[in-house]
Amino acid sequence: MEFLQTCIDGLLFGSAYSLLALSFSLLFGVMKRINLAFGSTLLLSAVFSLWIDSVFSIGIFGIFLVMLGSSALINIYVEKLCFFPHRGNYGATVSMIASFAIWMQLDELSSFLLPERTASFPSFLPDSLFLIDIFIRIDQLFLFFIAIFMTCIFFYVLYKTNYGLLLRGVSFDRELAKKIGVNSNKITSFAFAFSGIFGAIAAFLILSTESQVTPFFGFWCTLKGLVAMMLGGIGSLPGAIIGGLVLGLIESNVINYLGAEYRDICTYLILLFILVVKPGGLMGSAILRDERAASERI
Amino acid sequence: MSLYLITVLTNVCLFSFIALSAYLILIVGEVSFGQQAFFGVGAYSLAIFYVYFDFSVVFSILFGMTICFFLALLLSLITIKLSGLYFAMATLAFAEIFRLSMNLIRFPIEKEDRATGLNGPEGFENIRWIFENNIDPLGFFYITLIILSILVIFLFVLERSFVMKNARIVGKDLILAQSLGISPRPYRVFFIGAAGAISGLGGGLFALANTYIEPAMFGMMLGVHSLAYTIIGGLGLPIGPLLGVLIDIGILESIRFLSEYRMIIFGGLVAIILIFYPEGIISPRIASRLKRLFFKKGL
Amino acid sequence: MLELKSVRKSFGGINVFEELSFNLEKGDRVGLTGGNGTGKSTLINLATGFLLPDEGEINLGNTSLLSLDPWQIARLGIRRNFQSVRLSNSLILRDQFFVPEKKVVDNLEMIEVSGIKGFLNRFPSECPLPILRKMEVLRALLSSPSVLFLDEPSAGFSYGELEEFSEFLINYVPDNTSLVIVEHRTELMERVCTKNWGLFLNEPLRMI
Repeated sequence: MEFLQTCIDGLLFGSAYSLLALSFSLLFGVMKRINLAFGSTLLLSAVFSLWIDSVFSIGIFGIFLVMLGSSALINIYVEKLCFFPHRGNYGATVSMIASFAIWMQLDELSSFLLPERTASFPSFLPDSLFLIDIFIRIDQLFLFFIAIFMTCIFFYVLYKTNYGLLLRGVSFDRELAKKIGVNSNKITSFAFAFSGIFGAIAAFLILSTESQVTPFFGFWCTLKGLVAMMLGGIGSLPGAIIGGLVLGLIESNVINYLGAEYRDICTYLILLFILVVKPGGLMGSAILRDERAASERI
Repeated sequence: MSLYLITVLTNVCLFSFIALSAYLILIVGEVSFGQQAFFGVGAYSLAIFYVYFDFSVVFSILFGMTICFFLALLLSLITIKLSGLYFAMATLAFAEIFRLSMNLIRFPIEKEDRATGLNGPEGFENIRWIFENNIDPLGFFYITLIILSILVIFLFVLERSFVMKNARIVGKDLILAQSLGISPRPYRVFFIGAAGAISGLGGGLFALANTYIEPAMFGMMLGVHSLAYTIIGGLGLPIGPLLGVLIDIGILESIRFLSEYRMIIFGGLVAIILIFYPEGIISPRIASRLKRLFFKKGL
Repeated sequence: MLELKSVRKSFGGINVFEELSFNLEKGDRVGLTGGNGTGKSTLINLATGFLLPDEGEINLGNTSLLSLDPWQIARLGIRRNFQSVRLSNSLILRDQFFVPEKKVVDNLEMIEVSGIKGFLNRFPSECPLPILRKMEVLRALLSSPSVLFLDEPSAGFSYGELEEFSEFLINYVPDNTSLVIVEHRTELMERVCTKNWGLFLNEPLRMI
């Protein structure tokens, strides 16, 4: 029974990780790069919208909208500064470092808007539910279902719309896409914006279940998103979802059975284990195989 | 020299060690997010050997470096099949496992009426070598500077040998290296090991300088910073990473009114510099040009 | 000496080689041509260890090469260049030979005749393409290979440069080094090679 509780908790929280991992995966798919500034973007958009609210009183829905908009814009800024100039074959490391530098920059900007080190974030649905001895927080359940809904939208956009098709084309082969007339650069910008919006929705939900935003939120998002993505298999969208849920399950069980201080260390141990034993992640080694094959084409 | 300037310069030297360790790994073609772990292992080794066992600092540092070397060797063997982002994430996991483990280890003791020893997140305090031996900040700075200089000179000498040349080709174009008969693995393993040892050396000196260490000092921030220093300073010559450290710690830290906005400026600066100098300021190409200038052989 | 026996290689369902057999003796001068996608580069990749066959054997004398890494095969004396120029952009040409300095000095004459002497202090981005291609060939020759594979070495050459290059190969590739030239256009092969083969889709090698 206790195990069921921890698993449910884990799944509910893991859905947040899945959303973050999906955002990372999207960017990795399009650019084959890691955007380390992603978490900080979400943090900055959150504190920025709180600040706007403190000046103009825009209400919870206003905060939500400002978060989405600012996240998309900041992501475009990151794209133009860190990824666009290094879009050649050898730019992967440089763009990652540049995005780290902007991570630092955005985090410090955020700390200016967070003079008291934390701020309360509006939450809704504070009630909880008792279901046959299992304690469930309504807002976390809400997050879980919204996550499912958002994931469906994500896949719908990606697989059933024209923009999604173009995005997948550019992910598959950027140069080839250009040759058939696709504006790869514009599509990439769109991907960054979309990823920003998607991530911001996730961040909004996460922050509202936490009821507060702290300066570490950026780091937290980036790290959890990366770990979840690698657990599930980099570049694989279903992998991102599974990775996030698995991460949630692991963390929740570790907290319960070993204690909270062992949570992160177990996460990293599992990550290391997966990387050593099956680098392609849980969803298989397709990406790893493709990379190796591509590098062989000489 | 004011105490403030000495402190800044000492920090520049100390962080140069970890920057150089990131440099060595970048040369051999990988990105490591984990060098801060070896910095930490070096620091904690020094602290443990010096405080618990009263070993001399020289021995403690050397032994710490050896531990780091073998630990790094272990890491490189575990990750032998990994490269690129996978390797980077593995180093991150490795480093975080170290840091989080140190949070859990407590073994406090009392020495000369002072609390010291391992104390989890509260850190290891009272590593009193500089006080016990009456080493003033300037003296310590000179010691650190001399050790760093020896290391840098050694790396410069190594530049002219086939070791560095082959390592760079392994890092730059693995397929070309293979076609030239260069076996990539020994270079990779050895450079990762050496990088660990060098980082450990810096960590040991850091523990002495600071007299206090805690796990939070050896987190991901330190690691990615050192990476940023190296990439911005340039991979062409061993002074590249030092240049990166100098730019951040030296200039921005020391100009008071800027230090509040340090990361906003430094972050933006790094990204902008990388647009124009993707291989760093002292890039390998510039290094070649410089070499051409100084070493005109026959032919 | 170097032989491929009944090699099969396919890429994701596309069969490049069904049952390729190819034998190279010491001192051979072999030319290999074929249309796009007939497997010219694949053959080189297989022989030099950069690709593994799905089936078949690849032997150098009595040693099987199948369990060796490309660098080990290179050290056994099998050298190659690549279709696109593979020189480091950060090193001047003189620093890109990757052989002991003594070898460079001993072979000064060859370096002079090849015409790259004037470019030794330049970066690859400062040199014309034929010079870069000759540099790659020279680099391979200086290691005294037993087998040298050249993948489209005359790509980008003008007719005059090609003539010059043919003369250079004829004069400076040692007699006991086997040479395999893979090319789209046959002019170089016709001048330098004694045996010429053609690769055709889904057919065995044919003497042409």
